[in-house]
Amino acid sequence: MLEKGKITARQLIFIMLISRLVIPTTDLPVLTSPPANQDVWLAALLSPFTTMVLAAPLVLLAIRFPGLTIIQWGPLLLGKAGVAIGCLYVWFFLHNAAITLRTAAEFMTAVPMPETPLVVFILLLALISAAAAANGLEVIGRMAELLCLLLLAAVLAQFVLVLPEMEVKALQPVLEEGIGPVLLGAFYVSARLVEVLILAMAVPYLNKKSPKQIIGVLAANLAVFTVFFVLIILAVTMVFGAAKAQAYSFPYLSLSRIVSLGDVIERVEIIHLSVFIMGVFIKVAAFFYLAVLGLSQLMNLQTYRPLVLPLGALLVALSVWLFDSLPELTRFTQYQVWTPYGLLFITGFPLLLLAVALVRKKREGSSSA
Amino acid sequence: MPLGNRSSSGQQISLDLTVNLQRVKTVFSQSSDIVFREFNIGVGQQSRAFIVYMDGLVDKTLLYNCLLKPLMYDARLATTNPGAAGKNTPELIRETILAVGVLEETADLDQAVAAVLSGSTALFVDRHGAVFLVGTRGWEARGIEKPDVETVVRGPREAFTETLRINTSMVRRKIKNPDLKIEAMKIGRQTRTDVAVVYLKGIVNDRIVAEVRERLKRIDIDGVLESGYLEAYIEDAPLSPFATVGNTEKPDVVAAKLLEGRVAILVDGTPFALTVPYLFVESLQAAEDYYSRSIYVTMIRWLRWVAFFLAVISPAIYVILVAFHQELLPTSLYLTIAADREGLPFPAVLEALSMGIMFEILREAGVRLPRAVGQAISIVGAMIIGEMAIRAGLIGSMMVIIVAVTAISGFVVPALSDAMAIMRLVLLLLGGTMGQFGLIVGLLGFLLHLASLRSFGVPYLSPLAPLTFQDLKDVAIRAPWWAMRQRPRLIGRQNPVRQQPGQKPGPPD
Amino acid sequence: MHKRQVFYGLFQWLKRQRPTTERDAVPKERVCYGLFLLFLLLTVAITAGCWNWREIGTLATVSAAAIDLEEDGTVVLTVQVIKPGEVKAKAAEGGGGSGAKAVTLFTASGRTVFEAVRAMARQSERKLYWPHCKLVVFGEEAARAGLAPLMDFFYRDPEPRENLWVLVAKGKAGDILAVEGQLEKIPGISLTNLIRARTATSQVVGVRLFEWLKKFIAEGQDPFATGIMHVPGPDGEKRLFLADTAVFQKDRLAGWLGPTETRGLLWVLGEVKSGIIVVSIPGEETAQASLEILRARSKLEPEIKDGVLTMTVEVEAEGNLGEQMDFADLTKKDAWAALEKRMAEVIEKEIRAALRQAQEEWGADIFGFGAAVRRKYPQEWREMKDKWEEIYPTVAVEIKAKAKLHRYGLIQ
Repeated sequence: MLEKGKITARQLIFIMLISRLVIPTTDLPVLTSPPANQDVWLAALLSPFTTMVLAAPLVLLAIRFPGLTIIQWGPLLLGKAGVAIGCLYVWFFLHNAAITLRTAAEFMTAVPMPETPLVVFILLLALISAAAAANGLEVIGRMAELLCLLLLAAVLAQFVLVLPEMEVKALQPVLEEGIGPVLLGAFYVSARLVEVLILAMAVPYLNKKSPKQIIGVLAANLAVFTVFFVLIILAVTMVFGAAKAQAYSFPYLSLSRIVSLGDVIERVEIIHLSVFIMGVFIKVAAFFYLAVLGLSQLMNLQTYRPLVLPLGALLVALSVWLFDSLPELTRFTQYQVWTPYGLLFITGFPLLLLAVALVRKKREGSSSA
Repeated sequence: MPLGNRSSSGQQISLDLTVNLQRVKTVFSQSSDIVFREFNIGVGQQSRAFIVYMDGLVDKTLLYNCLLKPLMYDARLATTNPGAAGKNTPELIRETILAVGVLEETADLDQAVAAVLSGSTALFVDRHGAVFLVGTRGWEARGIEKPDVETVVRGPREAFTETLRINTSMVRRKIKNPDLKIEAMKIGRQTRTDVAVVYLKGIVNDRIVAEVRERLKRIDIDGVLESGYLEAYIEDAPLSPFATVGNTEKPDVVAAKLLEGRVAILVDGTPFALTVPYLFVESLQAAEDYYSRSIYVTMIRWLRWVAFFLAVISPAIYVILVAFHQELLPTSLYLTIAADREGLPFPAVLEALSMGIMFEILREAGVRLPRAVGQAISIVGAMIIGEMAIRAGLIGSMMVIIVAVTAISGFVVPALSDAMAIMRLVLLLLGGTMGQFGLIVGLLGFLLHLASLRSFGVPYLSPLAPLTFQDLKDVAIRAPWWAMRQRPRLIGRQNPVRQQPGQKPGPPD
Repeated sequence: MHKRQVFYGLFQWLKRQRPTTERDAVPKERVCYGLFLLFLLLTVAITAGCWNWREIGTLATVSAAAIDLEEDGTVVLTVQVIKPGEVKAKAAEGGGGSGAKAVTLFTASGRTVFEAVRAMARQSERKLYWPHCKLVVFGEEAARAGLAPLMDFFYRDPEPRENLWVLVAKGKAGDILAVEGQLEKIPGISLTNLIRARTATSQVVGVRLFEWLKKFIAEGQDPFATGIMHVPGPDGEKRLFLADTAVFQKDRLAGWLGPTETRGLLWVLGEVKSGIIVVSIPGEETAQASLEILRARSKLEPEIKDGVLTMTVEVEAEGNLGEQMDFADLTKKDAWAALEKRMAEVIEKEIRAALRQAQEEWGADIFGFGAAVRRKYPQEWREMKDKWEEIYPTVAVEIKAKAKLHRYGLIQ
């Protein structure tokens, strides 16, 4: 068995939550995607529904094959072509991890430690994430359990701390451009939902694998995430105003710099920074683990351990080499580029696989009749 | 088990007393504390016999009154008893004469020698092919005293001693239940140390007991002088700074842990008993917690967590704030610290490191010196060194405060002091080189390590991760006794219900 | 060996790897890996920190900054740097010496703000350290030329914080920094306290950098800032004085609002927290009564009828009777109501004064009319927004002020 560990539904939810919350707490790319004004929070609010739709093929496949990971569906359903799809997914996981690492490093370089070269951050974070991944899914789950609550508490705390600065007026006029852009925005938000892939990969290792569990995990994750996501967006929009918020490289960070309660509670950005690094760690560890696990499944290995080091080195190299500068990174994560890329993996391939699975089932059904 | 370095002689007891005597004398040659006593027993004093015992290990009163006297004196009377007719001497000895509780027989010379070494007396009778082993243990031991390390304000003040039997008796007194099983083992080729595995059958997880037995059986070393030896051989993560095996010197603690479904290991020769499985959160609990009021104890528990973190990250945080991220200090604090550090020659990391080392030296010195002097010297030493260093302009006063805070906080959680020292050092180094990022990475690293540890199959960080809300009643807070209705989930799974519901006290209706 | 063979062999090796069982002693490869990683980590860690490591004793902490613009466009930057050793030093005993000064000033110039910052290195022995800078003062000339380009450094660079106070000096900003505070050793902190105390009269504004920017970037709003000057004090030395409010049109200084007009502005914005309104006592027109403002709320409602825009400003204020320089019994119902009416009249007067200057004279939409229109009539705003500069000064404003008095203190 490649992975002996089991994780509980709660741990999985936490892993997914953290993975998803990390990016909004940095550069909040959603602010510039439609509708790109003060109605962004509405788009976020509506996103769980679009997400359910987009993730449907994935979830259906997971229910159909609860003992296999997404990597294994490909070869099962499509043979050699499926292996190719599996490889693409491994690449996707690795790519995601690399982007997250890079974003984190840029973040650290932007504010607290400007002169330290990126490599240092990337290397250290990659090291520790790889160590976590090498220890297995259970360990990642346990750490996620511990850290997720911290992260959520930090977001809440920050929201409360900036309450005095918030102006509800900044949210008006509501629906300035109509409901159309908002729905479109919700769609773009969903396209970033790569953590459903974590679900897809982790289902075989869940404690209980019933369809209700699987959907429950997704639903719980979406619910909690949406709440906090909306909170973040609300905070940023209400304090800065939509126009100015877009101007910031790291809106959420700038938010924490503003906090100044009675001269004593100042400079709380350290909480944000610390919690952010923890979140990055979990996300990178999770995606890296998925990549390693996936690759070892494709290669039919007995254990995934020997892959950790080479893939880890690859991860570091990718992070450094993929983008030359911060604007390049931002351009890539903007909705224009990211949406089709992400959708391909979240919906595209699963849809294809689902179709094949259905066709097969029909064939089997008709042949046995 | 082979006796020491000698291969098993496999010798049986000979029927000839002289031969036996010769053999035993050879075995115990050149030991001045072994005693041989030859005498005659029987009606007409016709049977010859001799006893062998180790002076200093036997209870002489018992020996003389219950063994020698009956054999040498009362035996003469026995044969006038009509019921004695037809029985030979060994039978009589076995059934009527020896007024002792523990009586065994063996035909194996090695076994007899081993028994003598443990304080039994061996009785050899002429023309009898077996030797009687009489339980006459009794030696000078430290009496039951107050615990040295785990002092309490409220609660029993007995502590284990170095004698296994006394310790087991103390545990027996706490749990008067025949299901309390005490399995004996001897571990160590040279030392043949008595080791007892104690558990409550029906509550304990049998797989854990089996695992304990298996790990203990695997040990093949020269000697076991302290439970720490055993700990090193049975623990899950020998290289980790965190202990996965707990120890205590108080019987009530052992009893409490047994009641939760854990297994205790008592070792002869040391008052420290081991308990497995051992979880991280146990290091932050104290026996006293269960005897005091729950609300107060809850507060104290939180305090312990705070102290733990303070002791581990204070030096690192100070260095980070001073040398990397000065923007994180509120302005007036920043100015105070800046003024304090004006003109200091050493970078903050170096200061913190050297003060830390100085402190550890003082602490160690205080422990090694004779009791009264030691405390005074370490306190005075610390104060003077700190004061003078500030005066000389080598160290800032903030640094001394930080070290003092670290030290005192460290004393709140003594069980983790080794781990804390290592954590402190690593975090200081990481923080001093990489600033806050390094500190977080270091903390994550330790957390990762903790999350990957298991103690005899139970995840080390339960009930924090995996999150078991019900067990948090004893971790995050200390729920009053009437609320803790179930045993810790992963350990006491076999018998989950601890007490009946509806126990909360209140005024009568 | 052939490449394919290498890969195949590698593949086979990978396939053969078995999970390590618990019981294995630490194998040699593991130890080597571990040591190598440790070595790598140590190297990284030890060499890494040197980039960002800065001891607290090597910093020149800036507590306040001032920017002036010369006629040729050169930026002159003056910074007030704290000397930490002197901050906590006690005053000299006997005789009134206040001890050495706790701050020093450095001045440098460059073509841009950042260049001037770096040019400072030629004078100051330590590198400038911005996070504890509490405020920035811009010179009048700089303000007239346009503040936005000068501000970029302060919010792009991570060191200065976004919640520093923005002030505009009447005259040269650098002179302001040279003035010592009275109660605090560090003038920067004195000024900050001064600004914080503005609610005592509500005739002075306090604007932080991000607030200024928010108003500047938003559509239909113009920023304003606190004005500051120095006046001679009783002992002849200079003292700081928070003066009029600097009003900007976009980012250029358009004019100064006096204390009454400033409060009018604050009434409209709903930011009056406290203050004193002096009215003449009904019946005794020569005596005055002081009414203490407790709180105030305001509402700004635009209304477009037949393509014509009118703004309605509703202000509701609550207050207490603070002082009366007379003995008349003001608690009688009519007198009390009259007092309230007079308070409302004063409020309306102040708002009118502010409107007259800011709206009609300068065309600076510091009240946020445009933003209000945008909130309520997004369609119409889209058409109006390009012509807002012409529309705004002509907008008719209706003021509805209401005042309520609660208590009268300890005596009647």
